[in-house]
Amino acid sequence: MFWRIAKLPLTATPWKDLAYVSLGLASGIFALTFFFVGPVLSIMLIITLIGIPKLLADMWVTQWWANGERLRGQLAGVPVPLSRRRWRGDTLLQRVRNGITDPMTWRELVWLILMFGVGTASFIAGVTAFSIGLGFLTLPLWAWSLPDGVEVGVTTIRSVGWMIVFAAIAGPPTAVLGAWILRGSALVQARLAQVLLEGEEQERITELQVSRAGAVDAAAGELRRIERDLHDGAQARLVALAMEIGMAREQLERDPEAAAALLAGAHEDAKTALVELRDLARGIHPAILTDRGLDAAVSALAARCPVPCTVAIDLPQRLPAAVESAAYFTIAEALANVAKHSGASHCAITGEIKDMMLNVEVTDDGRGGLRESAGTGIAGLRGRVEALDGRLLVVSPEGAGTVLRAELPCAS
Amino acid sequence: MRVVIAEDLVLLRDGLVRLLTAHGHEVLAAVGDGPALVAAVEEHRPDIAIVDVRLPPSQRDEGLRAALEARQLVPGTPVLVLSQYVEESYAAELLADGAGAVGYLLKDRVADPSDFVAQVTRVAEGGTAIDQEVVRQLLARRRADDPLDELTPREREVLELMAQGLSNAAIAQRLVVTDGAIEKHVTNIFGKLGLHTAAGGNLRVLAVLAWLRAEQ
Repeated sequence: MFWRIAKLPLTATPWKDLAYVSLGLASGIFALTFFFVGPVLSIMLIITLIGIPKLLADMWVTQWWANGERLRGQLAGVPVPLSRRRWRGDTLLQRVRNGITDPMTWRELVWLILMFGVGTASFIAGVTAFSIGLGFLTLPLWAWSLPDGVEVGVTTIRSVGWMIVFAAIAGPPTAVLGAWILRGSALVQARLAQVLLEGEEQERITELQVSRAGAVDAAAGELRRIERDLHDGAQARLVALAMEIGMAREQLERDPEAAAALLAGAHEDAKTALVELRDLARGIHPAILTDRGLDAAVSALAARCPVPCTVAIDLPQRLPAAVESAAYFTIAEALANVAKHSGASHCAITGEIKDMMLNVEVTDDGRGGLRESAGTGIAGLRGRVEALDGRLLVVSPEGAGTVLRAELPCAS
Repeated sequence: MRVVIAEDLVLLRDGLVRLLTAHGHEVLAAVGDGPALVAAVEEHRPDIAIVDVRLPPSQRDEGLRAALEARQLVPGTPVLVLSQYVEESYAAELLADGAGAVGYLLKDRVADPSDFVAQVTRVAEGGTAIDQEVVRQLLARRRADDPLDELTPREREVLELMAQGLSNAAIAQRLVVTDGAIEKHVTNIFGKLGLHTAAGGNLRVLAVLAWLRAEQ
């Protein structure tokens, strides 16, 4: 027991605590500054309307900063899981409102305000206490810089021998005490941060609600697309077909030649309608994906892509149907973008399982600059991927190709 | 007949032009969206405008609204609305306008060109053509203590055809009976539904439809 208390200065802990409280001081200074140029200024600017978008930006910055704080907790041995909150909404105002009604935003704000005081106090207490301990231990090494000797209580020590005796007697206990005071001040700060910044189940529930709403939207959008495709495609073609056959029938006796021409047109329409229906059915769910799995289905996709593709999908086993299908449609959408917009000369598709995650990636060497908002169907994909607790990443710098990556958890 | 067509799908637009031309009618303009329809009607003053419900830019019921707008500019223009699906409430909107002859048909009806052209002609001449599907939807809305229950199957059949806009003569021809027999059925139906027989032609159709639409 005694040894466990006494050995603290000999471990790495005091040094980590020192880093923790030092970073805390810096973080506190940032927090104080940001509190005034951020939310306070935004509130004052709210009349000019600039305050509203600025408020949203402030909430983002606060969340990033708070995530930094959560990470910093690791140094003191009290890590807090990172927060990945998003405030969604169709309009800016809605997003700001969702941000403001998010309880975690307020808790982060409280920590933003407290941080300067807490950070400074624990820095001063911790660093002072630890320095005194270190100073006593190392007294013989620096005492020469004090010409009048070292005052200890009522007497003054001047000889090196006595200094060594003093350091040996008073040094270790003060070092241990200093290290523990440092530990304490770091812990007080870290626990306070934990209480304020640790998300509750509510946060996870909100995340799930958002992703579920996204999935429902994605599904509804998909249904509308299918209806449109049917309406403008096969259905219209069948109406035209029926009309041509009807006209041909009426003209059969009067004008057999015209009837034959109409029938030829109808025949073409029937064949085109078949192709359109087949494509549409494949767009809803390709049979090959069910029958042969992701590798075969993606190979078939790649073969139909006008841009040359290489496929390297390495999966040891079949995956859950929802995962396979999300991965397939991510790749299909990516390839459609490659074919339509990228101007690429080559495209690579990879897929692998790592740490229970399926990672699929489509990389092209085209002109990049793919924008999610420009009706590229990526928003729909995102909803689909996030519904499975996955992530969709798009990296598409202007002029330097596009990488579209989906990471999907597959517990199988 | 001088016709203006509004249909955004080229395939069907061309088909309609060919069909009407083959039956000896003149297509003055075939356009692809709502504003163009309004302009074409104003310019050509056609005997009838044939309009697809769903038109760009909105791809909703743009065609319906454009047709009603065109009719405000050129009052009395007969309008035949075509749609991939027919909805009774759309028919109600068209009829409520009351500013001229109305037709509302499923696109599928072009599969019988002669019948289709006959319906176009009927609307162009001031009559009504309501798709049998719409009439069926109206009849499916049952009410408590429904007077329709008192109709004989034959009378029901006559009522359906009447609601579609057919004249007594046309109904008689369709059911292969004499005009007199139909007249007797019509009198019976009107008696059972509590409608007056005085109104003839288009007014009769409107009365029947209004009766079917009326909430109890």
